[in-house]
Amino acid sequence: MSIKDELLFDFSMNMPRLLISGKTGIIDNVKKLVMISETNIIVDNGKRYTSINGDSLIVKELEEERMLITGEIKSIEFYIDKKGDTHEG
Amino acid sequence: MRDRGSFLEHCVKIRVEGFQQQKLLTECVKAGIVLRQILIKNEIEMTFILTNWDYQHFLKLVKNRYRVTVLYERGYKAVIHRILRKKSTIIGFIIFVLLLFYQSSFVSEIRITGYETITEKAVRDSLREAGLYEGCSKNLDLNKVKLHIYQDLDNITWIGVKYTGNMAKVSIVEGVKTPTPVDQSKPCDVVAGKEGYLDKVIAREGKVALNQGTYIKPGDVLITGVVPITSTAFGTSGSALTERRVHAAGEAYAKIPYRLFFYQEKYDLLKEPTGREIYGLRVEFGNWKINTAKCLNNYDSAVYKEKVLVKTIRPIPLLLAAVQIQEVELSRQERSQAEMKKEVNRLVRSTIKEKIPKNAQILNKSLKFSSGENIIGVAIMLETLEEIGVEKEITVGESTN
Repeated sequence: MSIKDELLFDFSMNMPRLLISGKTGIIDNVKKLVMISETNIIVDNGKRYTSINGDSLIVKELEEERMLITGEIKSIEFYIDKKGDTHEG
Repeated sequence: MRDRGSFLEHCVKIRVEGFQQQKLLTECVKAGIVLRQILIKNEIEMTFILTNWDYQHFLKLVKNRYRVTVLYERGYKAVIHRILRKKSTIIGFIIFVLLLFYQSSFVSEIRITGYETITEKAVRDSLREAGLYEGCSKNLDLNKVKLHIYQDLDNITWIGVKYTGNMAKVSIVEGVKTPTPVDQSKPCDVVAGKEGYLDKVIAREGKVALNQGTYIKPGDVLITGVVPITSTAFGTSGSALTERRVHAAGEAYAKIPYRLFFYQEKYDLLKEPTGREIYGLRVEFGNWKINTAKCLNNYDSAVYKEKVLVKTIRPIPLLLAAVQIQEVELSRQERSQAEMKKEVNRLVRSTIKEKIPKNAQILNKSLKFSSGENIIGVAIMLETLEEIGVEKEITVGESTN
């Protein structure tokens, strides 16, 4: 990864940034909470929405634009940004 | 950076009831309020944990839009506040500590060790006179107590008093009482101190009273201090004297027989392991005891082995031991005479050490075995040569000592 790419990654403040490991997930750049339930958590990252689907999902911690989730994470989806692009994963 | 405290310090679990939960949570994120364990129960109810500092800000944030209920408070600050609120508990605790301190300032038990000829009662009485008794204050001058014991009791060579908790440990060492020798200026006999067969008498002063081989009893005169004289001063007052009294001195040796009897097992019990074993744990917690291996043991004959893993008294009396119960087959094997002789000789040596004086010379030793059904009796005859002479003052009428 080049320095340019790394800088772009670090300073992409309104883009979703996720770290998933086993039954734990960390979502950065959380600007707004759209929906929280046991099977689905949707957050607004500024330019995009991130949806995490799974079972027994619990928000363990929510602080300073960072959210720590635990539970059976099954899939992650990224929704349309404010300009109209669609991305899914 | 603002000090908002930590969750360990003081945190609050709350239930929030109202609409637009996500909006409220977004407001919290924007306000920098840290939330934990967010649990959405239904459309209008959710619970989460936040620090006490953040809770105050959260209340300002929600105003009257939501109903907020505190479910519980956690953290050491919360515990302290809870305790401090209970005045009666604090007073009770203080009284308990004071009672404990008050109780620990008294002697609850006195343990005396080392006494041999002096009775424990005599030592206790003397300690009581010195001010040391069960229930007395520990604030006592122990040097004064020791001094009193030295003055009050005879033949004490050393005394130690120390406190172990509420117990006073008194250790005493008694001196060896040596027979008081008769004053050199006073006439005396040398008498037998033990019974036996007289072997040899060497008189340095006085006259030998008994012949070699005579059976003597304690108190029998061996060297007499009354020496007959034949006066040659005829016609003077001294011619009337027929005996002279002297301070008899010398050594008297006697052969003293000792008869000892020991029993020995005729057979050795052999334990042959069968290969079946039970393993378990023995747990003792205060008065509660359990041994899992013993519960399962159904062997007719077994060997019990145990290894202590944990043994504590404070803060909790706990014992944890690994147990092995090994099934064995019992059989017996007749012991050889040489083996028994070896064992008996070991017993004889230990008996000699206890009963026979150190300066005694062992002249003869014989073992006689008498067989019983399952037991063999071993009779041991020991013959020792001992110095048995003891000085005894010649008294006419009452003793001058």
